[in-house]
Amino acid sequence: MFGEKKPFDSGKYKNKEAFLFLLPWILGVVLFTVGPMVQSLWLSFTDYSIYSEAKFIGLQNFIEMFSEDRMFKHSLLITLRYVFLFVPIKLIAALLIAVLLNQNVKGMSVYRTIYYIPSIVGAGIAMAVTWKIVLSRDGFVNEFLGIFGLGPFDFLTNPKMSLTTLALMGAWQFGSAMVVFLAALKQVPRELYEAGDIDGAGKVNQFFKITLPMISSTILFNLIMGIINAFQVFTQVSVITNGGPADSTYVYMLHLYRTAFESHRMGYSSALAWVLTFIILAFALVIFKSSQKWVYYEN
Amino acid sequence: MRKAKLFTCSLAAFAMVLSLAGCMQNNGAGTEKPAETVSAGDASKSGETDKGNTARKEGNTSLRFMWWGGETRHKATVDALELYKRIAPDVEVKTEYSGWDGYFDKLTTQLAANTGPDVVQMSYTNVAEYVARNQLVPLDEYIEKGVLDVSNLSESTLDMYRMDGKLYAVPAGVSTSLLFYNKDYFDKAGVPYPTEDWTWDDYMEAARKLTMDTDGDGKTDVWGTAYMVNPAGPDITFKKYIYERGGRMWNNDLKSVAFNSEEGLSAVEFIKKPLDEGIMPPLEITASNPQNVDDFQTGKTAMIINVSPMTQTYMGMGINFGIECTPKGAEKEARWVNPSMVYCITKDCKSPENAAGLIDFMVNSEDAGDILLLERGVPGNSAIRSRISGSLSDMEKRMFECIEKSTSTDIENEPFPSGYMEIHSMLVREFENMMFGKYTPQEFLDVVEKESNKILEKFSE
Repeated sequence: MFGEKKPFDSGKYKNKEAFLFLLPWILGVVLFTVGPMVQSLWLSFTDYSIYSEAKFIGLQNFIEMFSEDRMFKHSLLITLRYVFLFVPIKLIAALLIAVLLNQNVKGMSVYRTIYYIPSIVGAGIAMAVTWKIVLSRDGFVNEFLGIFGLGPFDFLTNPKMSLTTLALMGAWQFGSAMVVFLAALKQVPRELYEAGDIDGAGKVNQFFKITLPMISSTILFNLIMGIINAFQVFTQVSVITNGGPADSTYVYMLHLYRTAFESHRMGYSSALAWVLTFIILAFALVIFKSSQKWVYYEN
Repeated sequence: MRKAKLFTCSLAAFAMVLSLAGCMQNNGAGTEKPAETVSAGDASKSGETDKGNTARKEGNTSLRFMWWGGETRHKATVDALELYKRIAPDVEVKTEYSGWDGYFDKLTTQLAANTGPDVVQMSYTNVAEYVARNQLVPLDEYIEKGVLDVSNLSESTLDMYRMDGKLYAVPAGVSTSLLFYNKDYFDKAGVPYPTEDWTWDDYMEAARKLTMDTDGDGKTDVWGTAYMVNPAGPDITFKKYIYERGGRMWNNDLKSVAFNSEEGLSAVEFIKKPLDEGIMPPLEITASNPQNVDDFQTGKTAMIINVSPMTQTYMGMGINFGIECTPKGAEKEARWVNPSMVYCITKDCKSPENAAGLIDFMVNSEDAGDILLLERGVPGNSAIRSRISGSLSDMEKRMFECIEKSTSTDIENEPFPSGYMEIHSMLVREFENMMFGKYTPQEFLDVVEKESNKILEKFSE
């Protein structure tokens, strides 16, 4: 170990090697993530419309946001509603399906693949447009419901239903959360279930008293990831309903997009972006804090 | 041992790069611009074609011509430009065309980077804001030199684009509002076809008779009239109704709105009336139409007041329809001709005189007119109009007739203020809110006035 030190083994060279390998990633992060973040923070204190120079205006953007912007509050409320619909549905669906798929039934890998497909296919714009057609008054879903005599529903064009429909469409792509849950379920030690059987606990009881606590760290992970993604929902909303009908699906990111690219106010939308960042951060912190009470870590 | 280490290191690095490429997942993209994607309802390609990029001679000027439209427009324009090569062989025209979505985002970005096109097709509504930002070049010089001839174009359409006494845009075509009616439904309901003497009362009465249940299932499936959302937007109807009632849209300085008035309120109520009476399709049905498809195309309504370019669209769908001029009976007739779209020269153009020559060709050349026909609306050049009217279908002839008659001198067609595109998007959304009952018509006007003034203020700084 302390043998003859060749020049290539000297500590200094090792550092340089490592640094060189890291360089592409560092450049990428600085140029495409950290740099723009800093620029966006600067822009949020300016009035900038791409055509003219950025004009420093201090906290005016933020003041306007909280006092004059009537769509700010509205879009925030809509987004919160979306988050509280989308996240629970997605997590519960992912968990239940994962439990189902955690059995030793023949052909299980085929089933797993099938349940994962929506996540691959569903995120695209083509799928979003398809949904719009499928859920329309003359679409497949309403035709199917018509067989049972259920009247045509305006899933996407009735202001009362549109947001829930979008949340369900988003939650349909639970594949990645499901896979993570599946991995966690497999790690729950067999002995616990056997002990439960001996003590006479039913399957449902075992689920709540054994399974859930043992995978609580994974639940935490999926919860945080789900919330972060839900707050940033944009593509599907923009393509399918574009905030309508009657502003019922006007999510925060849509407001940001419009201020930036319709009203050409890059400074203001940068401010909006940072406010969203802090809101998400606040949610994450609160959840982390509360996790001390309900998450069980093996170590 | 060293070689193996180097090999595994480079292999690992290579694998990392590959996985980065595979990791381009769509996770709640906050900064992605969907404007780059072509919407599925729009059957046009986005692309840049290099026209005739053969040997570039010395002294060759090259012009970039940018427009939006569908496949037929692209083909017609490209064919017409072939002719131009013979007239101006040392001018090479490079075409750039795309769909409507994202067109102006693209143009704005190019202009901000000083790489804008030379000749650009603009919406008839947004010239003012590009002028306010000094993005366009005045055309008077080239008119005086005789390079660009505007003598056969309607003065009133040119007036809309004169700012500070300078002309900034030339209409590529003209349009007007027309009454389209579905002959099959009229026959079914036993209602006589509309005539030139129809009043708005006649219109409403017919609409009531035409709201019917055609398949006997007890539910209405055809309505008399429609709420015009796609693609022009309810603000077109709003403007027409205001003008008919003697009102105005903007104050003289174009810096604030004038439509929150008695006439404005009456106009808004007239737009809402069919919904209240149940003679127009429920909003949920209209909202579920694919993009740019209106209720007349889906066969849900027997009549619609829409802009003249829709004639081609309806013809293409094989609907048995007729055209009539819009009903009279309001205080003013308010039938006027609007440009359908315009041509401008941007500040990034290095040879504006050649660009003006290209515009002159597109607008005045008879050969070009024979190829372009109605692709950009009815030709603005009256000589070309009379020339091609012989080859048109009856429907198109009627459309021409209504356009020739749309020379109301009883109203003043106001130019569009800077910021109108944004106001338009906002009006479309707020009209929807109002129709869904979120506000009363007066509340709607108050909200829209406030928002519009805010937008207009931005441009008067």
